Amino acid sequence: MIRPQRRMHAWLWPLIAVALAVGIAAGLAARRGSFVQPAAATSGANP
Amino acid sequence: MSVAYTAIGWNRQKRLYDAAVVGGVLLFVGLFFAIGKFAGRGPEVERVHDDAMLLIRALGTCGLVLLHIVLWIGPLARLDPRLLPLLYNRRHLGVLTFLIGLAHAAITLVQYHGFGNVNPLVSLFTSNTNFTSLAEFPFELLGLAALVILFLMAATSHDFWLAVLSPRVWKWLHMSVYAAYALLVMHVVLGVLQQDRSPLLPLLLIAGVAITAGLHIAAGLREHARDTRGDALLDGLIDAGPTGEIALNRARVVCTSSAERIAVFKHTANGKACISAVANVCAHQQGPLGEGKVIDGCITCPWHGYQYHPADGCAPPPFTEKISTYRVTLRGGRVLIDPKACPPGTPIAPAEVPDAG
Repeated sequence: MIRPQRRMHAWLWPLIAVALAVGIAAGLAARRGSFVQPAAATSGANP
Repeated sequence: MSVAYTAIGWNRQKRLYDAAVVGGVLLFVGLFFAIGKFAGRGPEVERVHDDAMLLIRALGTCGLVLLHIVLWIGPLARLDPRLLPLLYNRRHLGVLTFLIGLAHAAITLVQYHGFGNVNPLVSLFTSNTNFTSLAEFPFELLGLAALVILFLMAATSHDFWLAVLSPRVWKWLHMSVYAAYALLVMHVVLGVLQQDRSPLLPLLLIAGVAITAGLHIAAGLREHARDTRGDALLDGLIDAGPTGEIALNRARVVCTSSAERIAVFKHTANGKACISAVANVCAHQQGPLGEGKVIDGCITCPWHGYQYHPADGCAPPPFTEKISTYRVTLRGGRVLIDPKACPPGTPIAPAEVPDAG
């Protein structure tokens, strides 16, 4: 029956919207370099 | 039990629809490519890469735009019944979305993984395993996962699979389009948006997500309110309102306390107006029968034209589909419906509407 899917949008889509908002915000913040890990120093290499 | 396969029933309307959609896609991709090519002229050595990259972006953008349109159709049709015709042939748009995504993926695979000494598919999975970094996340795998979902949906879009898988399983499979959508949004966010500094792309993407989410939430809340309200009861019977308020050959949809919807049709039998009540859900693909009309004495589903006799809920021969029927009583000029469904195909004598005056 389509009934479950019809009502499901009322609670499912707020969840999807919040998840995507968080994902988009994190992704956009990452492109400014906030989440880029600094390159690890190689062991034994001369400074 | 076997299910006979019948090929797509092409008709003039479908051909015109597909021609228009394919034409629109070619125009979009062509314009995107042309504008991108002339807007970003570079040195000769870069132009080869630019062409491939432009085509990749053109196809990717086109596919994502088409997916947005596909997702908007459902809630728009719920919010405004005048937009119901948009539902017709929606599956054609879905299959086209998959094909565009496949072309995008194929060119990307060749362009970025095809010129090394490693198998391109192996390279796709092993060249970047930086799952802990957002800026360098292997976003291509998100796109691949979405493509697999779209492939499964495209492959099972024919009615044959609806019968083989059962409507419930088929519907849940096709609900995974939402997972594909989320994967594709993140594929773009962690892919092209990591390099492209234009504010336009993020704004367009956010607008697309906001509209998609907003439409679904609005339609879902409206339907949820409708289901939980239930319709007024009179002595245990659902009051469907005055007989005069139901248009001839049309229906009023009422809702039981258990959120089952009943389509109450006014039609003619032996030259007299009468009322019959049937389940609102078409046996074919769960279409809303109450939004259809009575044609040649049969309730006709607005989605695919499946028909049922209003008196017994049976499809006319040679078809065998059946839907539940409900007992109807007329009292004081009002239509009262027994909310207890009769088994599919149960004949219920239509309630004759008294002549006015």
